[in-house]
Amino acid sequence: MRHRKWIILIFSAALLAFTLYAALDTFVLTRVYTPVTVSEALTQSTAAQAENTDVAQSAASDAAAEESAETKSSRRGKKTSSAASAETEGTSSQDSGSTSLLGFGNMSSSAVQTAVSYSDANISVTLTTYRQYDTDIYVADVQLSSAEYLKTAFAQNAYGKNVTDTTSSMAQSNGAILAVNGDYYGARESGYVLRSGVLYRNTAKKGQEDLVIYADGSFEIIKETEVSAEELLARGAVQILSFGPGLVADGQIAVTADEEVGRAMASNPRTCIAQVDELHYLFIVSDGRTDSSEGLSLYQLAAFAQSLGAKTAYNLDGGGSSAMVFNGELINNPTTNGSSIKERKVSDIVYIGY
Amino acid sequence: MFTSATESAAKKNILIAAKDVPLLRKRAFRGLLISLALAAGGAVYEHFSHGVWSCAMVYAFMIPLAGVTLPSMLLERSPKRTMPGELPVLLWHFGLAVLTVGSLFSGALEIYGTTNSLTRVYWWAGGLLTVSAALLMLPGMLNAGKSTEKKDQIRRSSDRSNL
Repeated sequence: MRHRKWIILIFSAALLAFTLYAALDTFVLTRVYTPVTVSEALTQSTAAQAENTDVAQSAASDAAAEESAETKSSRRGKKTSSAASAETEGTSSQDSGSTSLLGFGNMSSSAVQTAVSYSDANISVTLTTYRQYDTDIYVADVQLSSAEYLKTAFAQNAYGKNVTDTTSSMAQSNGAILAVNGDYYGARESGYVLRSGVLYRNTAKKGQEDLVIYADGSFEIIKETEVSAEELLARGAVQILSFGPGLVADGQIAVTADEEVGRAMASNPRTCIAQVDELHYLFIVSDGRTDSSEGLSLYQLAAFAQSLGAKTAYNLDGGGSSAMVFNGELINNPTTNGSSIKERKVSDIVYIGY
Repeated sequence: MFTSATESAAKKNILIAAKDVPLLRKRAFRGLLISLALAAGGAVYEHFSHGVWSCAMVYAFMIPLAGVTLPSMLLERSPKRTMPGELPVLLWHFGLAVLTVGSLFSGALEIYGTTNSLTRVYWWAGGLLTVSAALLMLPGMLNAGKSTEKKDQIRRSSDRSNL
């Protein structure tokens, strides 16, 4: 055949160019999307909730912006100090070393704060570090007076693909007292995304289990194929996190020992959010992939959350995404490859704040 | 009409070619080398993926193995005196290349934990190319077989009449 070599060359170039474009589209090219238009009837039912949340969120953002400059200067360089001190006693009061943290976020003026705890009239957070399964596990025990202080935020305050930021940066910009990484919705093209009462994505994914957080702060684990996002919104859902699976449901472990999320069959860094009781939550983040911490399987994480009294527990994005920030300090040791400790940029966070 | 067109194409080695055993052996060997490289690459990628498993990545080596090496070996050992010509073979190899790259790309995305609907393009384009190639191969091969039989019959009958 004539020009055979040229045909092969052109085909190879086209295949390579398409693959490069697909890779760029997946990992680099930024696209900001608009929320889903929900019917008026559904919108009305959640308008009040959304309004409350938005007002609180904008107030937090404004305050965070004002305070960010002074916070930057007051942030300590070493992140490990709070974790190390937390390892022995979660509720112990701290010395003057922790007082430099005062002023972070949009906290109450009556707040009592140490390196491992925060308390005011509405929010109480206690940080404890556990050592189980050859892994450091960081647990923030959260008690709230109202569900409005349990929030989520997008990177760069925008919903889209490849719109990312580190958990600590998002925590800072939102004035979060406590923050963990979210579900990294931007890495996938399906799965519900409902945040602060606004529905951004309503495409169901087969077999996908979501965590629904209602306006009263209660948790429910649902399957996307069984209920639509619009229906959940009408029921009063304020947040939907779509990663999973559900770890604990009705106080019982919901995963088997050999069951894993997607194709992750090994112990890994993990992030989990759990509800113990009404307005009583646990934020759990484990290290992993390092010499000092092996990481957890989903079953181990579920068993651990259950042992702390979790009635409902849900697995969020893990691996290199797992990060916990408390009072502006990165608490865990996030790593993707196990050799360098570095925060991964993610799409969203779940946080406690005003 | 169709047979004559096929025969004229066959003369140019576009749809059907005379069986070339060294070429078939070469193709089988190349396919095997590519499969081994893909198997090794997939194993290395899986080793560093912290236990995240991807079938698309691990089994990508099967595509050139099943699509190039095995057919080439079977053709080499078959009694047929013809083999697919350049055009269907080129399309077939293009299709397999697209499917293999698509499989690797999908595997990488799976391991990273992300998705992209553009991966469908690989399956559609690869499928289209391989199916087109197969469609070009099959009638050519069948017609070539029939025409060869007819020619053999004519040759036999003319031999008898000569006797």
